[in-house]
Amino acid sequence: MRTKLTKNLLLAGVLVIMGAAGAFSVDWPAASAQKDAPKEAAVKVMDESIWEQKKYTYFGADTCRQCHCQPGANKADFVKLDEYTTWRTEDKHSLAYAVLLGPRGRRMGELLAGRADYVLEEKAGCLNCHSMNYPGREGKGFKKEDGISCDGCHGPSSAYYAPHSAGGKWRTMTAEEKFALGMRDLRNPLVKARLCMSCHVGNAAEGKVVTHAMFAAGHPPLRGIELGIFNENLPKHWWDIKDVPVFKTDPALQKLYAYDTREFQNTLVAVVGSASAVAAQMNLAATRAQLPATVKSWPELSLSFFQGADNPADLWPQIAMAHSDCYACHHELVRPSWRQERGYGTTLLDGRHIHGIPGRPQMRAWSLLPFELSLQQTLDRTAYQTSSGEFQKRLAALYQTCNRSPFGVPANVQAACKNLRDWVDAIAGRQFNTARFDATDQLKLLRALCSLPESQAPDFETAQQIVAMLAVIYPEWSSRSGQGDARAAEAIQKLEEQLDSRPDQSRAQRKALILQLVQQTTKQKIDLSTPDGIRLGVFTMDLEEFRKKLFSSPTLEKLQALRDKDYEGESKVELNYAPDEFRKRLEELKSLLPRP
Amino acid sequence: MKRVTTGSLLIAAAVLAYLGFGTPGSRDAVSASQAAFAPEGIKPDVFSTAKFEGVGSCSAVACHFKAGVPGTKGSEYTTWFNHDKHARAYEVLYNQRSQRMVKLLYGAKAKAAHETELCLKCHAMLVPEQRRGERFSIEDGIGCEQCHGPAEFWLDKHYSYRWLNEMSDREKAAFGMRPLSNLLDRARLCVECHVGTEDKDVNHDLIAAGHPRLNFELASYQAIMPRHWPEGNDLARYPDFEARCWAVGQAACAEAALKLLAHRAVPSETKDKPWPEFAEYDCYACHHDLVEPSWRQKRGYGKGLPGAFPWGSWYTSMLPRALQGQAGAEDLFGLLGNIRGEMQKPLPNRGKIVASARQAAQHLQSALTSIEQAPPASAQEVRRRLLEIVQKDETLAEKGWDEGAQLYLAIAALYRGMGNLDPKLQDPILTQRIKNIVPDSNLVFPARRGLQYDSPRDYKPREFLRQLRLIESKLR
Repeated sequence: MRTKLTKNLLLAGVLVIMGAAGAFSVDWPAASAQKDAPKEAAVKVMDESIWEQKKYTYFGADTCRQCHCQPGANKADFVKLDEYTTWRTEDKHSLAYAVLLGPRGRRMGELLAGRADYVLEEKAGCLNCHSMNYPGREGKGFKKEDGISCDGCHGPSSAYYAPHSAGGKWRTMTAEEKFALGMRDLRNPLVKARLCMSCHVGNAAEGKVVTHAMFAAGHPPLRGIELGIFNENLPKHWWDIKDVPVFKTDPALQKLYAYDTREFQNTLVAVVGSASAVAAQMNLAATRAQLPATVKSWPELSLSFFQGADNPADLWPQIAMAHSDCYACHHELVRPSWRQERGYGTTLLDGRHIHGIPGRPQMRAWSLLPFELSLQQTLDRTAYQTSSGEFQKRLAALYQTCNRSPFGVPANVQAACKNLRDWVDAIAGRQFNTARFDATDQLKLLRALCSLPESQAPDFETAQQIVAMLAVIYPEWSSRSGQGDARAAEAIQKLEEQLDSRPDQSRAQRKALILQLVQQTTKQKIDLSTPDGIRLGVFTMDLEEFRKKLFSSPTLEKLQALRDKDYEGESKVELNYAPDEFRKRLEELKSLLPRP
Repeated sequence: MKRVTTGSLLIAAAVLAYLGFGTPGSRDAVSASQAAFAPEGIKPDVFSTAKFEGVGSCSAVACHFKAGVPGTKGSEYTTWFNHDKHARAYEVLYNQRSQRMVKLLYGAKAKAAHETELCLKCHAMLVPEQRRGERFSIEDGIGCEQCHGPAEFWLDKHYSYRWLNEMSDREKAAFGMRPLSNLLDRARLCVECHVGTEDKDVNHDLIAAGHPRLNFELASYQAIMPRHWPEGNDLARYPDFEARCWAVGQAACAEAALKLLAHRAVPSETKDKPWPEFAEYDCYACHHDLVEPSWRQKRGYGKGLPGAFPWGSWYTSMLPRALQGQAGAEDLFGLLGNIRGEMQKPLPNRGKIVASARQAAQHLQSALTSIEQAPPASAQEVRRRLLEIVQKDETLAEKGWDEGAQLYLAIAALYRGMGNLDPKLQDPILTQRIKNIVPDSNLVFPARRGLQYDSPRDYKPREFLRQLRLIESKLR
């Protein structure tokens, strides 16, 4: 497959600005405002700090609800107009704050700081992911209790609120014009990846960090994120590009939004996501390793345990544990030892091995193999060989610093992580984000995902990533090529069950619970068993009443019980994971795929 | 060598050994380092210069290679060769686990385990070529001279009338024979490998590569070791042998562990010595599956930070009992508290650890002499100590497996010690109740789904407590 740099209008703005500097990566803001660093590659379009400078404020979902909660769905235009309904009834982002008030949040507060309400305090850092925490920038209708609502992802709407609802001109504006008004271009996989991963991997500059102490106190594991499946499993309140009704007939809009009826969008998201995941992990570790640290990048500092250290670098092992491979330590000691059989260090896709001293924690590794596979399948042969060598060199430097002393020394970790991050970012921007996949490319990618070399013994999280990519790419390939096979689809579904890459098991029950509250707070008698009924119900319900009921102890406890059941199921799935069995299933799946 | 978990090994040992009676004998405490004079022609540093003659020099049929009952006079070599795992210490370096270990540790640069110096330091008698006698063979593992001292200057003397009947340990030491009848000397010998020294350090790198964790407890190891000397010798010297062996072992292990800690904390300019050294910590604090609902979170973290490293308690949890009544014990426990506090910090201050650990080891050194030299306890005294432990230390059983296992080993050792002094105080029901602790509370880790777990996931402190109450009622 060859990547094409041109003819992608969606990215035109990015390319124009970055093209001059010869780099296509996205610049990462530093944890503390370091203005001296040269930023010739900075992408102005992407530098969201301008929103802060312009004092854009975040409106609340109550404001968006005025339009985006229509009782009758919009089936033939630009957006669906029932986005609020989907978010409110199905999307866990609307409950992000509520979990802090629930039993698990309270217990975490007790364990961490001796008080249940600790998790609601600014300095604890929880609000940075569980709400939209922009002190002084709360706009019209903002409620922190609504968790992650519209503006959390789409950007602060104070400046675009009026133009975007005025109709007409708005939809013909370019992505960067909208960005200047505060709106994120979420159609761009790179932008989307950066956004989702800021919480789901972490972004210390934004105070989004799950610390080891938080995990130990009960924060559920942040599993590896595969952007494609996250995208698919999120209760979608949007149409994919190829499905937007108004694009089908308007050539001007088609050009502006890079309308493409070929099915590769999700493949693209998965491939870009695989690189973004490595970059996000490295960026997180690099930012965390930057000294002096602030409470934002080290929420740990708000705990008494971390206060009074002579030298902040002495805290590093506890800090670094948050980003180290959980399962390096957290496994039952058992003989024969699978851990020792698997060996230490890491073996790359091309067979090169990076030595890791036994017993030294290393960075979490779930993002490595998917990225390498994407690299191998997206670049041409020569480019891949060069890139693979580069990747090995940079990754080896990181291993080396963690070999020298447990968790490495902050300055060395920072240097190694930045080095890898910037390189991967450039790949993501230059090669991946502009790639176009035809059916043969997709088939090759599918087959590569199924044919892991003997040297690879993927851990549970890596296996999850592989399955997620299969689950995202297969349907697109199958529908484009017409060569799909019911048995293959079934095999993938089974893998998804075994690796738990599906949406939460409790999703339906949670929705039912929310609908009960909707029912109780709407004055009319509405049948909530149909989408139309739900839309009408959410449209007519009493918002204040709804919130009161949502935040009542019985509801919070029920929600927690559902989540706990999910976690329990997930942890069992993980315990039962066997790499050999997994490899066998992949081989079976491969035999069901045609040769390209 | 058959692989047995260290945990199950020492517990099995302790359970098995309920023996002992003897007659009081003379006392003659001397340590190798106290060897004050040197016979003509022998250097004062004889232990580090004399030649090792090899087990072949001891194994004449007329000497130590009789085919008698294990442990009887004349069958020392036979007992060692046939029953003692020390004889297989070198051989084990050829097995799959050892081969994998060096590969994991050194990658492409790995030599075979039996050629790797680090391994040979404990798994063989590693002396330089010029110190190897004609019959010496590295393949003999841990042979006679590793414990008894290099035989170059005493081999042809040690069966003489004068040697056997007139010479003191101190005099023999001047020839290079290591005194071992004194429990303190013996304990300090065993801990060299079984706890570790600066030179012989089973750190977390080695454990992660496959080496079993070291958790040594002198009394139970003594009880399980195929004895090649008459037990009466020990009892003649120490009528309360088992009880004293336990107390000496507790203090000697702690002393060695603290010296090792101090060494681990000293930065090295020549090699990258890991710090924090994970082998210092409670294994099971980190090594457990992440499973929901989490028993770990339910149990809470006390005043500590969730997710901090707790310093391992194997060598310290029973110390307060072992050192009961010793002068300066309070200072020692103050120091240990400081070490514990410092060690649970993310990156413990090396200087502080070195200073405190060395100071604590000093305290133990003087306590050890006093424990070893104390007059023998009476059967009733041992019974009272045992009862006190059973009544007051139950919180240890609840704390975790390490503490529980040490508590059990203490009870077993003191019970045997009590029997040394007055067999009538032992009774089959009581013996059975003590034995029951192990299976009832799962102190020996049971296998699950065909896998041998090295994990206290099934440990049941409540059952432990129940047995303690039963033991108490019988002991009172």
